[in-house]
Amino acid sequence: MNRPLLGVLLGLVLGALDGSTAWFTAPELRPEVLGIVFGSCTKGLLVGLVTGFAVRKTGSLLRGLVVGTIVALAFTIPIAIMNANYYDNATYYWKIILPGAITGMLVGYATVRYGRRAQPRGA
Amino acid sequence: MNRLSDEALAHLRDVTERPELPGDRYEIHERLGRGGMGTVWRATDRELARDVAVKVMTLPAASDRERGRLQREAHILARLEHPGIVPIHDIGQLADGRLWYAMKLVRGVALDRAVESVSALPARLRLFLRLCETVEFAHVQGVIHRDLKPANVMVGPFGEVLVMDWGVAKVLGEPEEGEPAAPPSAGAADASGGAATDGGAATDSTSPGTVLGTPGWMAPEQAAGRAHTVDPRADVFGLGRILHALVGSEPPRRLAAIVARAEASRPEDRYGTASELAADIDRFLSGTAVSAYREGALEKLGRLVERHRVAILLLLAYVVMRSLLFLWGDR
Ligand SMILES: Nc1ncnc2c1ncn2[C@@H]1O[C@H](COP(=O)(O)OP(=O)(O)OP(=O)(O)O)[C@@H](O)[C@H]1O
Repeated sequence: MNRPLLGVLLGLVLGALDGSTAWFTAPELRPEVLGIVFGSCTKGLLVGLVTGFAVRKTGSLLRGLVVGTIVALAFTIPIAIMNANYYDNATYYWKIILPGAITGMLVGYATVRYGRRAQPRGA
Repeated sequence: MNRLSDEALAHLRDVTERPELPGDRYEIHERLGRGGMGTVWRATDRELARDVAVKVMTLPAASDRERGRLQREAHILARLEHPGIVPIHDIGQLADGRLWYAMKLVRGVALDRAVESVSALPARLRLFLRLCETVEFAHVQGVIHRDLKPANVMVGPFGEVLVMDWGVAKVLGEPEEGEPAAPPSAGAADASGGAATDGGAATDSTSPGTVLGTPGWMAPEQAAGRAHTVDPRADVFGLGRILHALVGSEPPRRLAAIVARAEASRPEDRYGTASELAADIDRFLSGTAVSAYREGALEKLGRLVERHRVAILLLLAYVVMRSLLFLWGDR
């Protein structure tokens, strides 16, 4: 499977799983869990797509890890700030940023490790 | 003092034995080595302004069979155009009747010496894979090497692997004129036990004479004097011996099983082709199941964990982090 597509699928699945953990980790948000899962899926999809595209030609797993983390942080930090301000609850920083970063790493690593590498132009 | 005189003697011998190639295209320099039927010299091709290696029959009075072998080797080199086989450039005859041919000069070292500086097993196996590719190519062209051993494999400065010394190769479908099939002395069927090539004296080079091949490296069926009937599996045996030497004394079980299958005594117990052997090495390298080894459920689990180690660690990190956030997140 090519890397952008694999990134999208992984992002969707991990995003869905990550979003649904809110049911346990933030019981006060249970009424909104569907919206959270939807948002998390969308974020996962975008992170997966951007990461998969950015690492489509690399042969380096480390690069995959780093790119995945950076892309995930780029999407997660603004969301974490918005949520923390909206709910006036600083723990949302960690609850959103940390899982986001690790899933980003996972997406970056897995797309390079298991996705098909795109051939450089002209090859 | 002694050393100096030895050197001087060697130099003198070089100069007196230096062949005179007809014309002035090639300038012969020092001797690179001597094999069973020929001596190899470094030379300069003045026309193309490059260094080449020139192999010249050692003895002017060599038998027709030796002439035939050198000629056949030249023809085989010409036929096998592959990055893993030295290309031949020219062929001719000296005034005294000796045959010679010019080929690419290989600036490398023999495999056994090359791997001294390659300690990582995967890197060694990748070198071996290149060797398998070349041998498979030759087999597809109908040529069986029959004398695979580390000394006949050169590794270049860029990691290029070259299979040398096609002097005893067999071309499938072509009769081998004048090659005797006399069985060797007692014990020769045991290839690892140092089968004799020439009247019982085990040497490390391919002697022209009775059994074709090198004791310790050739397949048992070849050591038993059936060199004419061998098929590609004889080379699979040679590859197996080389692999054995490359992997050290305590290889992982799956790799040991690959070695054992490649160097099995009976041809029918070996891999059928060099590419089947290569495919198993590839599987070993990528952490998938190899055909030579039946693993138990636990071994399989261990291999899968090893193969997907990083992904599993990341997932675990995620679960641990989530659990910690769950337990202490609101404090
Ligand atoms: N193309 C080459 N470039 C550089 N060195 C070479 C080349 N071909 C052969 N040699 C050197 O010359 C030596 C003699 O080679 P040759 O092919 O005649 O026989 P061998 O492999 O040593 O022995 P045998 O033919 O008895 O198995 C080799 O060991 C190698 O070091």
